Formats: sequence, structure tokens, C-alpha cells
Amino acid sequence: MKKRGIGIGCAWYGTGYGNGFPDVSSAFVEIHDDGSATVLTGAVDVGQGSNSIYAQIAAEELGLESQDICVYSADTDVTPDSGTTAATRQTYNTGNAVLKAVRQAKSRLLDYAAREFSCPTIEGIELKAGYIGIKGDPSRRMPLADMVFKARLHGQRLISAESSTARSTPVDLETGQGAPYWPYAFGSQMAEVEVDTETGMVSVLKVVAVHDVGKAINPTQVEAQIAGGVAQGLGYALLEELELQEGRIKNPALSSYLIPTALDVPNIEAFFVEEAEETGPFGAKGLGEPAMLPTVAAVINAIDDAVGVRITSLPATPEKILHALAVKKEELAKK
Amino acid sequence: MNYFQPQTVGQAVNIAQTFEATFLAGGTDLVLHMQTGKIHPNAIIDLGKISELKEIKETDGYLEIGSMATFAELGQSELVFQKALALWLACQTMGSPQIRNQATLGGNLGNCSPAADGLPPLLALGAEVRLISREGDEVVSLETLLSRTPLLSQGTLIREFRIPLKGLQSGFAKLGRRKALAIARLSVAIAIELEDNRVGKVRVALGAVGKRAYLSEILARELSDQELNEVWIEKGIEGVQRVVREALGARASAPYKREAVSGVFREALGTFIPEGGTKV
Repeated sequence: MKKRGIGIGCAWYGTGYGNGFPDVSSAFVEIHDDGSATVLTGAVDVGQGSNSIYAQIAAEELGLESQDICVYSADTDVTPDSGTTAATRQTYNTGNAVLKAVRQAKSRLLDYAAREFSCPTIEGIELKAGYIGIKGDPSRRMPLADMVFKARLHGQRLISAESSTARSTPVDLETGQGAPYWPYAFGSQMAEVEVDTETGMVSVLKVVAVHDVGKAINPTQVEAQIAGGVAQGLGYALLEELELQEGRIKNPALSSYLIPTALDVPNIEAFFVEEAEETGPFGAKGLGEPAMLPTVAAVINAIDDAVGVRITSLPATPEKILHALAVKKEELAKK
Repeated sequence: MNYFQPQTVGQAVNIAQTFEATFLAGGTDLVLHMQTGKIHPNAIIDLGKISELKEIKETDGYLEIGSMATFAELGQSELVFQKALALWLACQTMGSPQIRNQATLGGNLGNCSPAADGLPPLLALGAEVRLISREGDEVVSLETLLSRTPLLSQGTLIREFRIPLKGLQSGFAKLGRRKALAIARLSVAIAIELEDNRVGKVRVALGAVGKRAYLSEILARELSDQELNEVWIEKGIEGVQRVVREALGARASAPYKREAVSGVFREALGTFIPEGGTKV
């Protein structure tokens, strides 16, 4: 018989290396006289899209389009170290480094432009839609490229190097006090499953996922990262199992170490909450690992809701589910 | 290593004999075995250019399927859907779209994995296999062929499958660990003569419970010539569990498979009998 159930999982997660470990990201920036800019950073884009995030951060700050920004990343010959793509830290930590570097290069441009426009303070200068000019006076502006060109002819170079260090203090081992992580990410997911009581097979019908991302710098990427996290979480809940025999891995191939296929992944509805993280670039924080954390609990709870058995070791294989159902049946018979 | 690409069956058989060569069908098993060093062929005969081996057609009382017909071609064939539903169903879930585009029914038999998805439906439907070698043609029932060791003598080519069109209703279900790219842990194919609510002859074939797929004589005996009703379905489930229990003995997978086969049997019935798939 096929039975359906619904489960909820919640997660909170400290992002970054944490516990006082130096968590430093860096970036070099140059604004060019063709109205473009380059960002160099050691952060590795492993497909999650960090390069796009840095282009968007730089473009936002310079009043340009993200396609005007060229991001060079993860070339150890030329890019400054930005730590690992791990710990859900690249949007927040390296994003902050990129923003600091862009602001530093931009401040030189503002100084130069204020003199050009005979503006008493750089506060009166704005960069918008590819132009640089006096705030509130559209007649006094010029293309950003032209201003940078002028600056270059006067010997100015709009380059910068910055780094950003995350807040983190070690936990006091005596008192348990401290601030090991900053910031924290939060998320909640619901899963609907169908359990076949004869075969123990679990089919996940739907997952709804809601995550607090501070600010979604790229909403499409946020959705995709949630979907990827859910798919991985489903594998964690139902399939992935490293089989060891005397220390050797018995299933060292993707034909035997199984992850979900497209057919195993249900419709995923992704939502995000934008509660600005004040220390993050434009209010953003990371999402990478948090996206997969609530899935396991949601699925295991849904199995419990469907057939009334509690699976306490992962993955929840059909064998374990059938065994648990048999044990439950025996216990009921005794009563 | 020599590589041949003959245009005719006759050429293929001659080359096979002369060079002690291995036939290459879709290659989804053979190439992997070569890569892992499990086999080292003297020569390879690629059958991909022999067009007659790809034919799927109906001729006087038989559905004839060339050994080089791919799972994708079979799974998209209206003829197979109409005449051999169990096989058509097996072709929907085998491997992945990429593998189904490449893998052939003949290769499925040639490799003869315990979990081969194509074999239980062919067994249930009473398929015959036409073999050809330098000695000549031989038509043998798949059931008989699967009892031979080795399956095929050197130089023997699987030419086609012949499914007698006796108006059997058939269905198939398999249990894998996931919904695609899953090796069958259990598969059940059922073919029955059905008139109104009366079941005539019944053939049940099982995959992944022995070294090769096989037909269960016990189930044929116990389930044939009866009324189709809930009692019959439960009798079938009880029977198939007993058969799997006896076949697997003390194997590690036995406790699970002998339970789970009930759901697979029920699902296989449900693919062609509306009331078969639901537990009342």
C-alpha cells in the first residue's frame, strides 16, 4: 500500500570558518577608461555562481551593468587568496572584500571627479547608469569612461587592494561563551513523501523550501542553489551511503554510490526571506550548505508521518523502512 | 586488436569464426568490461551496420525483433506496445535515455546480467531466439537457451527474438534503488491468457533473484486456470514470496527481497489489470 506523509525540517547554521579561525578574503580592483572594471580574487567559483555575484556587487557600486565587470578568479599566479569555497562563505566573506576594494578604487575616482566638477565634497558625486555627475543636476555629468580617461591622463590610477576579515571569536572552553560565527543562516523545508509499505521505497513528491538569505543578490541563483541543496539533501536522506570494508570503500563509483537522478527529484518550490544582514555586502549572506540541511529532517519526519516509523540512521533505505514496519507490527501484536 | 564492421549477417558470422571475435552490439556493457580489463577480445565485430538486425515487425503470428533493436526503439514502438506490453514497459525504465538509445535487446541477452531488464518480459511472453553461426540457424526458446552454459558458443550470433502472438496480456515492474539509472534489484514480468474474468495460462518470470532471469514453473501451475479476483491476486503474492524465499535462501539480500517482491508483483499486475495494482 502507498501511504503519504508530510514532514518539516528546520536549520540554523553558522557560516564562515568560525571559532576564531582567521577567515580572510581579498580582492584587487581596477576601474578602466573604457567604462569597465576588473575584479581579481582567489575565490573559486565551483559552479555556485560566485563570479556573477562579484560582478553584480562591483557593478552596483560603480553604477555599471554586471557585464561591464570582468571577474578573474582562482588563478593562484595573480589573484589574492580568498580562502576556500566552503563554509558557505564566498558571497558574504569574499563579497565583502570585493565591495571594500571597489569602494576604495571608487573613492579615488570620486576625489578626482569632485575636483573636475568643482564640487566641494565627494558626497555630492554619484555614479549611475554608466555616468558620473553631480547628484540632482543631470546637466553636469559625463560617461564614467570619459572621467576615468581624464583621470588617467592626469596620472591617476584607480586601483585598489582590500581584504575583509569575518567576525569570529573562539569559544571559551570554560564558560562556553563566545561568538564563534557571524552571520548565521536560517531555513525551513517541508517534504511530502509516498512510502510503499510493501517495498519500503520512498518517493518524494514535493519539497517547499524557505531560506533567509539576507539579500538575494541574484534571485535566480538563490532558487537554483536551493534546488541543488534540496536534491543533495534528498540523496543524503535516501540514497548516499559510503560502504566500507576494512577501511576500503566498496562503492567508489557513481554507479554504486547513488545520488538522485532527475526523476528522483520532485517539484521544488523555493522561497527566500530577505532580512538584511547588516555586515554583509548589500545585506547578503550565504546559502550554500544551509540549503541542504533541513531536507533530511523533513524527509525523515514525512516518512514517520506516512507510516509511523522513526528512521534513526541514514540513508533511510527501503530495507530499514520495511524492517521498522515489521518491528512495529510485532509490537502492536504483543499489545 | 582487429575491428570489423560487416554489412551482412553472413559476413559477421564468418569473421566471428575466423578471428575468434566478440560481437559488439550497443556496447553499454562490453565497452565497460573492456575498460575495466574484465575481458580482452581478440577482435571486435561491430554489428551496427547490419540493417536487418534492427527490424521490428509482425509476421505470421510472431512479433519479430532484430537483436540490434535498441531499448529506445522498442520503447517507442506502437507494435511492441500493442503486442508485448511487458517488454515495452521494461524498455521505459531500463538505464537512462542515453543508455536506452545505445543498448540493444540482443546485447541484453548476450551480456545476460542477473538483473537484465529485457529478459523477464521475453520469458513471460514465451519468446524464441533465432541464433546463427557457421553451422546454420537454430530457433530455440529463450527459456531453454537460458539453461545453457555457456549461453552461446563461440561465433554464435543472436539474430532475432520471436514473440508468438497468442493474445497474452502482459505487464512488468522492477524495483531499483532510484527511478532512473537503477540496476534492477528485483523484476517481475507476468503474461496471462485472460478471457472476461477467467485466467487461462499464466507465466511469471523473475529477474535479479538468481544467476539468470527465469520462469517460475510453480507459479504457472498454481495460478493458471482460475477466476481473476482478489483471492487470486493474494494467492499470487503469497506464491511469489515463497518462490523468492526459496530461490534466495540465506543470501544477504533475501530478507528484504522476499518481502518486497509482493509490491513488485502487485505493481506488475497493475500495469495491465486495473484492479491488480491496488490492495483492497
